[in-house]
Amino acid sequence: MKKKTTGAARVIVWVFASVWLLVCLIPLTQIISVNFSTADRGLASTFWPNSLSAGIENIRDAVDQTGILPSSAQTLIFVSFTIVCMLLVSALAAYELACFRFPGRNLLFFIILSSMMLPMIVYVIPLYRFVHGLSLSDTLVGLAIPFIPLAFSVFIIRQFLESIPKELIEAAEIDGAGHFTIFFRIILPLMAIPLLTVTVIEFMQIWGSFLWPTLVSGTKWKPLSVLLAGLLGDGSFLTGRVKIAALLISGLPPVIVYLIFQRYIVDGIATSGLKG
Amino acid sequence: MPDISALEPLTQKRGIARFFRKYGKHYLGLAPFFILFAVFILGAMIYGIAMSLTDWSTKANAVTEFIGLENFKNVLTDETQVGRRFLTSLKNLFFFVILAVPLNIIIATLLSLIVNQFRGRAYRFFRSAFFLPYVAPFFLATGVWLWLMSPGSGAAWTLFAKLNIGADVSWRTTPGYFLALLLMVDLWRAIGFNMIILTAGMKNIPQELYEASMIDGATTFQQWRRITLPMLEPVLFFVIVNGFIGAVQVYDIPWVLSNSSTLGTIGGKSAFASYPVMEIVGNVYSGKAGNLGTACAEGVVLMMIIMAITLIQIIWRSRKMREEA
Repeated sequence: MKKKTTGAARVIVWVFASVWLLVCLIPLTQIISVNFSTADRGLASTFWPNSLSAGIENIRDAVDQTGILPSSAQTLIFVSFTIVCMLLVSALAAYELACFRFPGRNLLFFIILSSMMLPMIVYVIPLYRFVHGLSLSDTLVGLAIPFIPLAFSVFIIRQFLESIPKELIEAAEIDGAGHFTIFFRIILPLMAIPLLTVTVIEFMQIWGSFLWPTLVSGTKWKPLSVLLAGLLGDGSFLTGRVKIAALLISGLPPVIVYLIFQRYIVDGIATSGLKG
Repeated sequence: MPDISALEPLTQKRGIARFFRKYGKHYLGLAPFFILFAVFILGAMIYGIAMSLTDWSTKANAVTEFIGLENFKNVLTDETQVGRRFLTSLKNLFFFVILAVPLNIIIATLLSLIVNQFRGRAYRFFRSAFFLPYVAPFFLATGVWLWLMSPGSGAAWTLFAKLNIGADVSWRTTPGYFLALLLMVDLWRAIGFNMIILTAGMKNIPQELYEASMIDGATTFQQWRRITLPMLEPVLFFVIVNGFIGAVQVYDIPWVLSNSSTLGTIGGKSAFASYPVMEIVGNVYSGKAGNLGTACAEGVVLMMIIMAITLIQIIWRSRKMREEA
């Protein structure tokens, strides 16, 4: 795949790419630089870190003053619980839709596809009252509910299962394995890649979800998005450095997950966009 | 032939039983997803549409009554406080959407054309780096930019002030500048997402087209215009439709930006910094009579806007394709 590009175009391409690279990275590296620098430096003119101990001090202040640790733990529990439920439900649905033929299959898949475009604002208010009425607001289940039937996840897993040889299932059926035994014993272990793809993408999405958590969270459950959105108000009594340390802690998990699993994320988002 | 009609009910019954023996397990496997979806998503949506015609409220032991289109009247006139705020938020939304969506698509397309010029390691590096802002949760993105743009001390604020842009204002509390700040945060974060989809779309374009055009002596820019962009049309269409649906529901970033003591309430006292979803959520918490009915009606209005925009795009595209065919 060799492509000749003219010299002028080459220069333009490099210039634009470098400028945008700076735009993307500087705000993020600035958080690290400022957090790990001593308090006597101006916040605006700090472009590199100079003190590890000051950074640790800032993080300790953030932990002491904001309640960010329990909130992080809750967010982790909330996100993991949601993803496990969502994967079970959608993997099973994808298994039926991809591996078998039965009346209504195409219609059901069409419903799933079109619900990918369904705007959340349409159902979120009545759903909130509904969940509230079931006394599930401010609980783990209440937080997780709207994220569990996720069309995107069914779509990605189904896409993958289409390529699995059906003989695998037929052979297991001849051996007398039950329908759901085949799913748990044979198909589920093969799905590692799509399951991982959905997991990492949804980890980032749900970690940063705000509209639903603001509605149902209360005194018991307070995900990081709700906590941080409150802290960022200018009425907050916290100093700039503490806020930045809090941002660093709360934003780190999705970034780390991305840096480790970026291949899956990029591929997953690309497929959903191309086939949609 | 003997009398068959007498046997029919029996075979029919057997037919149903056989049908379920044969296919029942498949519906059982689909049941968890579809029951949750039907109850919590579809059911909630239909309930919300129905309740937009009532004076449903959060007040304890209030009787909910059917009031017809009263909510829609209230929400869409400037005679009520709720209506004034909602109309202002729709006006704000209009300016946000017509700026955010085109800017996002144009920059994302340019970036993907640029990224696509690289090969191997450089290609993967730039693509990953440009996607990084999208990975940062909205509160991180908004927090960083609020700090970079804080009046008097922020690095980006100082830069703009040197260019004589907003040198004496606090962006988050000044109308106009608020929109600029919102666009800054939103675009910084969201462009990477579209860029990923567009670069993947470009990878699917057959390489032979470029090779053939190179023999004909086409320049890179000609290749972009004549091959890449036309071949990318379906992907671009998805990105645009999706972009509109997302932009109309903008919520989290302006919420944080307008969470300022100077503004008094979220969205500002005159709603200059408010967007429709913020108004809807605000109504849920207002505790006024009929507040939930009002919120539902506003939700329905927003849903119709989204549906109208999406439909117009689909019709426009199919008409254009028919013309070309």
